[in-house]
Parts: sequence; structure tokens; C-alpha cells
Amino acid sequence: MCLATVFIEDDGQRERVMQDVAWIKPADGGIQLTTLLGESKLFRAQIESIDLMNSLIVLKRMTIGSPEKVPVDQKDKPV
Amino acid sequence: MKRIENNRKIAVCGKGGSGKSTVVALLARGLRDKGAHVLVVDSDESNPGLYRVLGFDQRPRPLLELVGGKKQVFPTFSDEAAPGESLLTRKAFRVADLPGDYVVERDGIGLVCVGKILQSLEGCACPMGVLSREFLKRLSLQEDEMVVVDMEAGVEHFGRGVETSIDSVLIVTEPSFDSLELAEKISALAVEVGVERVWAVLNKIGSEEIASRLREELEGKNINVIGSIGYESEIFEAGLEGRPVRRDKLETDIGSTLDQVL
Repeated sequence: MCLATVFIEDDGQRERVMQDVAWIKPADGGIQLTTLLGESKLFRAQIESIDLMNSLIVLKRMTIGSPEKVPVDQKDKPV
Repeated sequence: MKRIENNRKIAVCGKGGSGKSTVVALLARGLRDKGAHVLVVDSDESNPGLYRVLGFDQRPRPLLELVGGKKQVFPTFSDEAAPGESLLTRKAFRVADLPGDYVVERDGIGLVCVGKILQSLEGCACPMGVLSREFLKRLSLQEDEMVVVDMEAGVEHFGRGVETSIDSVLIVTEPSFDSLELAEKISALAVEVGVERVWAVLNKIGSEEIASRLREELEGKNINVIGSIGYESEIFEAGLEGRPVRRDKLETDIGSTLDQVL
């Protein structure tokens, strides 16, 4: 599977946050992910690793200036 | 027609050339004749001619274009705004919601096409697999509607999780070692993803002896055989000409399969 499953790492815990991610773009304050079907979320995070063999991407939550940890599902709103 | 409660989304799987498209067409027409409204989903990104086997003059626009198309992904996504919402971003939709140019319909049978590989070096078919999975998952059926999916040959669609969105798997099995081996693999993968009903239908059967040997082999692999289609010259002529099979001789052959599916 070429489309990616994305996890976010926080305090040593990994949580799956998106599937079928087709597009990844650096955005203000983080990383914007968009799925094949057009669902988009912005995460206040940076890329930790990309595993193309298994289509896995791990993001690491950024803490400088953005200590909040609660995921926000609204489109384009920083998480 | 009675309310259809089971087997409402059926994936037709099997080895390349085993006769999946022929079985899809016979199944769709048989179910239609029994009163179901049938939507055929062309989930094979290579096979170009299913629309002709079903008697349509042209295939519908591919669903992949609903999400921007494969080649359009980067121009679309490089805009500041994310891609807009489409039918496929809804959590659920009905057959009747499909935009007109994405489905062709005649005599109680509709056809949608997920997408085709059109150019060399354009990349893999993973987006089509995801689209098949999500389309089938989100498609909400009315009580008299059924879906028959023409899968790509082999087993890669299991890796993409397409079968997580369907109820039943019908494995088209021809008289060959590879076809039998693949049937066993497909059955195991289907059970692994939680498909409750897995059947085989025999195809290209030239004698009762061959049918018996195949049945024995498949039942030894715990695969329930629900039908058998003969080695009919009409099927090969129809395949050569790219037209629907005349069913006169095949009504009996496909009949037992239909009885099991309904």
C-alpha cells in the first residue's frame, strides 16, 4: 500500500491519527496531511520517520510554544 | 422480491483469465432477473472491457476523477486550499446519489468504474484500491439493491483491504493447479479479514469428471462450491467479440450459484 498511515508520537506513546494519506505538506506551525478522499488535518508536529516499505509515517508532536495535546478534528485547525 | 439481507456486496475474485468478468456479468443479469437492482463495480484497474461484457456502449467516468484524478493530484493539492468535499468524503451515500456521468445504467444493472492504469510509469494502483474500499464501505444499499464487484486478478486487493468492505467472496476457479492454489489463498485471506461467506464457482468445465476433481480439491480446502459453468464456445466467442454472453445454455449453469447467493 503506497498511501500512508500516519502516527503521532507523544510522551513515548504512538497514536494512529490518519489513514490513506496521499499528500503531506509543511504548513504554518506543523504538517498538513490530506487523504486520497480529500480529508485534511493540520498537526502541530514534525516528521520523525517515513517508512516507505510499510507506508508508515511517524510525526512527533512539537512542544515549543504549543504544549497542548488535545487532538482537534476540525479541518485545517492546528492540532 | 424479498428483502435482501445477506450477501449484498459480493466480490468476484480469482486468477487472471479464470472468467471473473464473465461470471460478474452472468451473476448481475441473473440477480437482476430475480428482481434485484444490481450495481456492478469495476475494481480491476487493467481489464478494459467489462462495460462491453455487460452490454454498455461506453464505460462511465472513473470514480478516481471524483477525487481529482491521479494525474491531477499534485496540481489540485498544491493550491492553498485542501481538496474540496465530494460525494466520497461523505460517511454514507446511496446509489442514487452517484453523479450521472459516473454511472451507466440499463435494464436494472448499473456500472461504476473505479479507475484504470492508462500510461506507463504513472505509478501503482494503490489509490484505486483505497477508492474501491472506501466506495464500497460508504455505499448504503436500499433493500432491493445488490453490488457485484469485479476484482483485479490475484490477491493484491486483500493487501489494500478492499474485502473489509464486502459481505461475500466468490472465487472463480478454472481447471488448473494455479487456480486451485490461488483459490485456497483467497479463501484464507478472506476469512482473515472477516468475510463470512466464501464460495467457489467452477468455470471452463469440460466434463463431469473434471468438475468432480475440482470439487474434491476445493472441498478439501474447505471451500464450498456453489456452481459450475461449462466450457462453452459461446463464452469464448463473446469474449473474442467483446459482447455479452448469450445465456440460453448457461441459465442452468448459473442457476445454482444464484440460488446460493440469494
